Amino acid sequence: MKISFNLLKEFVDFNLSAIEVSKHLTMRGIEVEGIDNIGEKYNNFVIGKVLKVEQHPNADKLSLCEVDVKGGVLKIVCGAKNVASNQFVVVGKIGAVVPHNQHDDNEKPFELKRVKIRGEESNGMICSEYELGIGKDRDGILVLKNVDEKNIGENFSNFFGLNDIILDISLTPNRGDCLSHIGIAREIASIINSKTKNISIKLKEDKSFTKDFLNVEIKNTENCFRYVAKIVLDIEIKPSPTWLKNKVEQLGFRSINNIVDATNYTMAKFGQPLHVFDYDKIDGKKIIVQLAKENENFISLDDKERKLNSSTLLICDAKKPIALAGIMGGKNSEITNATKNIVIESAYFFSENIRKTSKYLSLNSDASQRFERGVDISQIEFTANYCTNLIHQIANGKILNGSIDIYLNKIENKKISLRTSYTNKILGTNFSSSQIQKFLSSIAICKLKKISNDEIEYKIPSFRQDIFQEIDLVEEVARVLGYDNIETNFSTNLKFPDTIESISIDDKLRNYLSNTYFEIVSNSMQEKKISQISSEKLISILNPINQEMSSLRTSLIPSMLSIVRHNIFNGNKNLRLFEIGKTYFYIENKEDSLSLKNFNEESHLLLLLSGNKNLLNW
Amino acid sequence: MLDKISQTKTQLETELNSISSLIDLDNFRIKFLTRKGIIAELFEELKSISIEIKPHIGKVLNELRTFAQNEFEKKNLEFESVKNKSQKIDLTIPGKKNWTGTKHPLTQTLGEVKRIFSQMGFQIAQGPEIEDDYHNFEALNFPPNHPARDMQDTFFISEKILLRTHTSPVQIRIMEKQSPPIRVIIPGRVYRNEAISSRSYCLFHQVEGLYVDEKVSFSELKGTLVAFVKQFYGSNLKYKFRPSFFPFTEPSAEMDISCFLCNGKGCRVCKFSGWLEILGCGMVHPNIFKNINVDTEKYSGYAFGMGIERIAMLLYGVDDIRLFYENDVRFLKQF
Repeated sequence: MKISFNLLKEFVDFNLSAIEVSKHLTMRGIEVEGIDNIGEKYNNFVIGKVLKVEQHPNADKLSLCEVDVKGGVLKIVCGAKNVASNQFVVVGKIGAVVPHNQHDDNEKPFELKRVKIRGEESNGMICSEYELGIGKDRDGILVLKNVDEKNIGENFSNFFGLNDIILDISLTPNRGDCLSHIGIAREIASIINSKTKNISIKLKEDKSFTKDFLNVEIKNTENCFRYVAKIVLDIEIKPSPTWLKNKVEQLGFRSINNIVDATNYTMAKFGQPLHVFDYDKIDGKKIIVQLAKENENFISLDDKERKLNSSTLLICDAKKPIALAGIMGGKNSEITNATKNIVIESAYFFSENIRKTSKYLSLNSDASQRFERGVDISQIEFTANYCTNLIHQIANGKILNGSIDIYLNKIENKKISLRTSYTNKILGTNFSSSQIQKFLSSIAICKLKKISNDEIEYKIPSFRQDIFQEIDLVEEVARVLGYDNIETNFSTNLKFPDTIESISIDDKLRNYLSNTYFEIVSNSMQEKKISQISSEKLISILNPINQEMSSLRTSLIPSMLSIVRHNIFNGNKNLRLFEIGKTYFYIENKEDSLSLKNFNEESHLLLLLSGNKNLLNW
Repeated sequence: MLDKISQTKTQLETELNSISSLIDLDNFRIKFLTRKGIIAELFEELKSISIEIKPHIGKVLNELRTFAQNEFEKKNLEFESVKNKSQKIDLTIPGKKNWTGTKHPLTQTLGEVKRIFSQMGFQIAQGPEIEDDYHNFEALNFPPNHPARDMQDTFFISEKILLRTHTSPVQIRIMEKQSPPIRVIIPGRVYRNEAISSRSYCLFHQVEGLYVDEKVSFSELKGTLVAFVKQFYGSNLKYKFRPSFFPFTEPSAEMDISCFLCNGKGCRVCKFSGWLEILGCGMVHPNIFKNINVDTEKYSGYAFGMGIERIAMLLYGVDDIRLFYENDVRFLKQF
């Protein structure tokens, strides 16, 4: 997962470098695998103003430009047709590395040098969107709008959100809450003993009420705990503004249009997946959350027809399914360039159901990944509002008044008690109850009440869906404390055994044989027809990598022979090899054909001699 | 004619007895066995013998010739052997080359791991490679529909029978049979349904460790593993434990050691981090004890696991895991 440094700073103030943040997060169990300093790429690109454009004396298609970059006027030869005086442009100075070379077949980055082009000196380059790696337009130079005289000489990366550092984070499956910037920001806040900022949204809503435009019914309450819908009318679908397009692309999403980008951006920030329907494609102006019929067909957004089963949770309108809940929208309700009115969905779907369907359909999405791990049920409406607000800013439209929020059975925060004695026993530490409380409160796990001198009950925040029981709190204590701060204890309770484990027969054989034979270790999976040579009772693998590995071996001989062949082909003709390995057989047992008793593993030794009996020594 | 033959035989026998040197033997050969020797002359005479008795005499004569030849060979061999014995041994002839062999590098690496843990008092245990879903996943706290299952791509034999994806199911099998204290290491072959590349193979070997007793703590787990890595990799290395996630341990940790190839400065092998990830470990999750009826108030435990291939690759600088399974003797010879 990609995390933007700039976005983290919207949630928490901190003064740590990217390397420091990475080290701290990694020691909290959130492994940072890479740091990409995007801003650095644009080190020598500045905003310039074109002062003068003249025809190049020796080339029809080139112009000679004078560009003010503050602190000097650069003479630059430019080949673009659209260059004109008084434009604000991006200038790559000498030493800048242009991300894409559009005059080279491989389009590799290249460094700008002082060159003479047809006899005229050029001290840099005026760049196109494509050359800067921020867009597809390669037909002319990028002419900046919303820029004025005072921006001249400023670093280009300060614009379009390019002055950012992107962290590449590898998350363990338990930490669904960290599949978002807010989650990572919470950890950073805990590391620096600070708090995350409160973000509030004030929507400019229209007079008409959302509930007059849409009706939502949850028929399957087991798998849909909460459903929030917002409606925005008269929006303009268009490409995202550059800052948003760049940001979603930096975060690893494909930029589609302003609406889709807004939902992905909101999800990246808060971890809540959102879906947008074309309001005019919803029949009966009704949304129903229910299970699919067995073998029902559905065409998802990616144009694939999918056969559903009866445990697939669907979002339907009055007539038809319009989305695979929590996984992917449907083709029939997708927003297009013609879309005018939209419904924004923010919901809580049961993690196990989403995972089952995602497995069943072999369909993973950014949304399903988050629902499978559990989203923050308390933030469902807030994120819907945040996204609505963003859409309103970049796509205009009218936000209808209020939201539909179906939340039938309120989910209370979990309460879990933790004993000081148990914590210290498991960790081998010696903390007091107040020390433990302090560790936990730094990650928003707060004391509810004292149960006894040893035991305190804590309230678990709704975003921490991975915490169920006492041991989970012990781990949190250890994590906040830092594993390196737990003493390394070399003493042990257990007595040493009277005798050291005697050496096994396998190892005895290996010791003896390896004096004159090379030991080999070979693959125990092989082609079915090869396993059949020595036994019909072979064991097949249901999902093999390929047919060459579709069964378990019934003899060590075939794999040995293929190793002998490999060696002989490589000039090793005189061989003495041995293998000690297992062979595997299916034993027919009619009473219980699925039990493990039907499978037998045997240990075998195979010796092989090939080539000359005596080895020549000269 | 017959008389002549028997005379010749007597003469031949006498002369045979008096042979005392190679020269005598050669004279004997010239006298009797050459084309102009006595026996050849007798065969010449045979041509003029009447047809009626010719077969009989021919047979006797043939016998004589065979006798003479055999005796000659015998004597000749006697002299040859005497001659050989009397000759000196040629010390410059190279000796015969001995066959040599080695244990497979994976066996050697595993052997060293076993040796160190045996000395610390760990027993060695084993379990089946063909496992059921219960032992491989469920009893180890992997719920049926949980993303943690994605961590280990599985080969299935039937819906509930599979090739074990780790050696951890043996933890369950041991605890089902034996009550604490338990201190074992469990080496074995495990399978993962992953694309084969220089970094991953469809099977590999793991060593699992388990210690269950009263008052076993995370602090002691750190001590045991630090003692192990110092013995295995050398006492100068640095180490760190960082939080991780395994369903069957909590708290879970990943142990890193300072990269011994670049001394922590950062190189290709450690991906310029200066650290190498070498094993996963943690405190046995109470759910596991509950699954097999071990009293979680009385007992606690730790478990750890490491991949033998990974260790061997780091230790010997092998950059392609497939080399271990190719078994080219030019590769095996190097260990």
